Amino acid sequence: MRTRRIILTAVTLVLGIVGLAPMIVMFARSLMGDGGFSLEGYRKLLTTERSWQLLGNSLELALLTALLSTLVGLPLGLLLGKTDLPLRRVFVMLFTLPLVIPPYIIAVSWANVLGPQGLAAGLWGEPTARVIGGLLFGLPGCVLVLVSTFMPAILLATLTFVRTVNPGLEEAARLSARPLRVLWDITMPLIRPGVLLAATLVFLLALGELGVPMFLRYNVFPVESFAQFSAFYNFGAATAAAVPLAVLTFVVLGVEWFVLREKSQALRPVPAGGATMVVQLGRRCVCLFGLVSVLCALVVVAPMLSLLVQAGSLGAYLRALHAVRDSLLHSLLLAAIGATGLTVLGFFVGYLIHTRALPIWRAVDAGTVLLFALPSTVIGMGLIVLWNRPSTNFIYATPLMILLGYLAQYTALTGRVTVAGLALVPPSMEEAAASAGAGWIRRLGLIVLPLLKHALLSGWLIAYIFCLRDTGISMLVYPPGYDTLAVRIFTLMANGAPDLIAAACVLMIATTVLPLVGVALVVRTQGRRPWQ
Amino acid sequence: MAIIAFNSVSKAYQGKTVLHDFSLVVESGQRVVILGPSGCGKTTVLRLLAGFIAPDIGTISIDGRVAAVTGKILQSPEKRHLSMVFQDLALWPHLTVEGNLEFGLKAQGLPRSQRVQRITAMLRMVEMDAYRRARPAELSGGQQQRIALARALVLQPKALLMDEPLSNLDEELSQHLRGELLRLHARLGFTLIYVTHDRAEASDIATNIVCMRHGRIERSVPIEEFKIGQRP
Amino acid sequence: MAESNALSQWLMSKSIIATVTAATGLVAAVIVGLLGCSSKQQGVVIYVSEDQVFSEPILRDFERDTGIRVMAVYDTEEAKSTGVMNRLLAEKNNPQADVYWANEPIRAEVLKQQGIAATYRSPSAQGIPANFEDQQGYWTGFSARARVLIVNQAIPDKPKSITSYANPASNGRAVIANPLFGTTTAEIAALFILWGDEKAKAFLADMKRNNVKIATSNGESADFVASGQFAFALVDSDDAVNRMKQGKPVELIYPDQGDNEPGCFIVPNAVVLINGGRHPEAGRKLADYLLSRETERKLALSDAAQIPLHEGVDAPAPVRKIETIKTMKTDYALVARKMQEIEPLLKQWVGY
Repeated sequence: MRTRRIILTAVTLVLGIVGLAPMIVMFARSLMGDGGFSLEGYRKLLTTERSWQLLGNSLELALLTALLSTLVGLPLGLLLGKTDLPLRRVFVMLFTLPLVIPPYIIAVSWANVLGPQGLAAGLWGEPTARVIGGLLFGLPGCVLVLVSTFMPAILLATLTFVRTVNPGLEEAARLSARPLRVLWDITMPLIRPGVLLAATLVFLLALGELGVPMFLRYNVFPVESFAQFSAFYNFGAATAAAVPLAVLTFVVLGVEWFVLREKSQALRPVPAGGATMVVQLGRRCVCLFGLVSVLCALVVVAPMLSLLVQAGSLGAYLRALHAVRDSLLHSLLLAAIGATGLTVLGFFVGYLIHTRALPIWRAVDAGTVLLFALPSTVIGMGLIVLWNRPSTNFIYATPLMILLGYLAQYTALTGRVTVAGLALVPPSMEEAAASAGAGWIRRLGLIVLPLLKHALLSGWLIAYIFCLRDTGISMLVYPPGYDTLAVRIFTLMANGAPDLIAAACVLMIATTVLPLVGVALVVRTQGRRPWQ
Repeated sequence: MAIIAFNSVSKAYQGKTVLHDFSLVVESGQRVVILGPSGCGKTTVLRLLAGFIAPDIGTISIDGRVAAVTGKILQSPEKRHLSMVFQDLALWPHLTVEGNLEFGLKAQGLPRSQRVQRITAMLRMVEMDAYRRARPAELSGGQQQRIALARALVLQPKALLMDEPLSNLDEELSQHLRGELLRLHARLGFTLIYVTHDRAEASDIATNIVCMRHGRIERSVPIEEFKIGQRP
Repeated sequence: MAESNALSQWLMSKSIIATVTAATGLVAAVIVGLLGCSSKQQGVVIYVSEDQVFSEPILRDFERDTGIRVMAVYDTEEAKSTGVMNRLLAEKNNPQADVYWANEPIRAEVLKQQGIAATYRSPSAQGIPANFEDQQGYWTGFSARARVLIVNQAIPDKPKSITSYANPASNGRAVIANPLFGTTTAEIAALFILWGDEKAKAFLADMKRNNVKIATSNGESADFVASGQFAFALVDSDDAVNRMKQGKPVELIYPDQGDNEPGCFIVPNAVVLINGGRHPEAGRKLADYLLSRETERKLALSDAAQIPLHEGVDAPAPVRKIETIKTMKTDYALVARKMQEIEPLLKQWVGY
């Protein structure tokens, strides 16, 4: 018990130093003005009409994104997880693709398709292209890009949670009702808490999204924080501008804790020998297959293809590889190390939250989610303010700063994956080990970790994706000469040749996807819990 | 000699008291069955004894040493030298049968030769020697029960705790395994604390019965007295 | 028996210790490796606001010609600019950069005002007109852009002055980049100094009345004009030149070139030596290289299409030599201060 307490306390301290200390420093700065205490930044924020307008825009974008992602992702997940639709795995892989790519690259690819100079302009003619381009560069475009990016999160959540529904419940209902009725009345209510949890995550991601609204010229609240940095060099005002986002995050967290958390943890693994109910589509199969194919083609294939078309020749890829080679290597190294660090930290954080081993578990949970939701510019500036001093210069101006940024911003992801994984492991597993005389470290290493290996692998992959596609933090803290691929592409967008940029984007996608494909081929999951 | 002593123990969960002023003494070698309906607090008794939770009021002693006092666990589970068979058996799926048995022996620091000796002897005793390389998922329900029992007994614990271990089995298998348990007890002489809601099971196994309801002891009597009370 | 148990436990604990030690060693190796990737190594650190596609080749040439390793941090397009200026400001008490390559002198002025710039008069700066450098030596201008009008070839009445924005005939036909960012801000501030506050405010009001479109950047403004959605826009000369090179139906007009007209606002790049930089010697060498005639020639010939400030340096059409352009008389220090003063007004004008 003591060992557990010491180690978990140490982990909490690490999280505090890495994540919360920079935020505290920035928050303190936001309360300073003209050499003394001042609430001027907050006063201006709350009394300016534009602030409320921007906040409204952010909420609107986040709500629409979460709503539409759920409206599309949930039925799609049921179709791909509970029916006999052909090529289900292929569709899942394709639909998941946008999730692993930096959102601004998705925005670039959509601009290639629908922009005024896009591929569609050639098909529809300039007046129509102009109208569509006008819609793209604004709220509708932001919603389109963010839904195509984040809908896969709902899809994957639906696929995961349908597998946890006891098939006996569905079979009991099937004795008196048709499959669709069973899906609607039995399956969906059971998986609803889990799907809603995923929707709140999508809401938070959309709320804090910066790159896409900036690229598509839609003014949202994170942009205000950003503008305070870049236009006015006003760190205090920039941090004050991030506070409403933090408040919204707490509200969402509160809803999640009090309404959804207990219910989602009620989903338990399928008993041994059970198999999930599969709905035979029959005559509807062809029609539904066509619909899903069209959706896939429009939402995933077309934008991706546009990048390939824009890149054009092999020469562009070679030039791009030459231009971004070092950045690519930096990205791979940092993403791998970052993912490993996040998996380790996230494991202990998740364990702490799941077992409530320390009284401050709720604060740890809230802290990690808050850091995830905050604009990366605020986190980045906080890291600079905290670490850029002579005594810590051996850390500052090294790639370690980027890793610290990753740990600060993304621990919530791996922590949550661990919590979800632990929820599927009966507590009796660890208790039995304790009864057998094993101390905490032995129990963790020999019992808990092996049972959690799939969740840890998932967490590592998710962390790898987010580290690889990170732009906001990397851009602020990367040491001179050590930029990452995502940052490199962003900087090349300023007057870089369009084919070069498109080729670099394709390289970025390949860098993210290929390792995932490799892992998927190596790891064969059979849909069974380890103890079955 | 008293192996286990509960002294006026109370425990509440989320504002609801599940154990009221529970006092019990278990002597070495006894087979104490705690009998009661679902929700009467019997599993809570086992979890308090195992050290997974702390009593709100009262003390728990094991082998003369205070293991828990009001609000505090003084002796962690791994130090109490008790073994437990859980309701879901909690066999570690990633370890073989041999691995499941060896885990606790390694934690105790036994040298390899002794571990092998004890495991072989225990597997023979439960007639599962042929399955030492199998994983739990490959075994039947009854076989898994026997392995769970073997895993608990191979550690030569001060007491064996069993939490409704036979509740998921059919009557025939359950009877058979009760017989196995009694045979092992006769041979090894361990102290047993067994929780169940099944009167027939309790009658078969117990030397002493503790009847519980709503978190309180209704009766605590030797089995003979209990059986007399059961006659029509 | 007890002794062998104790021995076994000791051995068991040893294997755990070995595992933990190996893991700690691996983590330490990774951290040490990353710590080694720092800018403390021999070389020079430069923060660059000029677009990477134009600046990087120059820096690579410097590396090749001098053998000094360049470690750079690049900026993004102006409206998306995150970090270079902010990093310099945030790192003020513990500077990491040796040199700053600003894409306009206002940023250099901000650094001077903040005490981040150091004085340095480079021998390469000889021949650069005095009004394109700080009189106290905190920054030196080179390779400039001119603020020009990009005009769609289809329109018959081509504007010749920035005052065309206020002409009622331009209602709904003109676009300008967001004046809260970059070179547009500087030019508006310069107009406030040139015309006085009243006239400048009236000009802004007229633009609003004329329904001027606010774009996110000069590049977007140029694209709007190139696509025919708008008639003209005030952009940087390189934005106009690039669209012409792409074959778009646009032309470039240097505004206000008449006798009684103020001339064209010029935005030079600026080299700033950072106060307290760790590699001052290498920093000075890099500054000399950037301010050289050869660098200006390369930037003029590249897609950056920038105007050399040294006389006699070749510049291909449509880039004009600086001596052939009537330039607005500008005190960039005053412009920098004016920018801060008019910031609330501009925020209001944009709709913040």
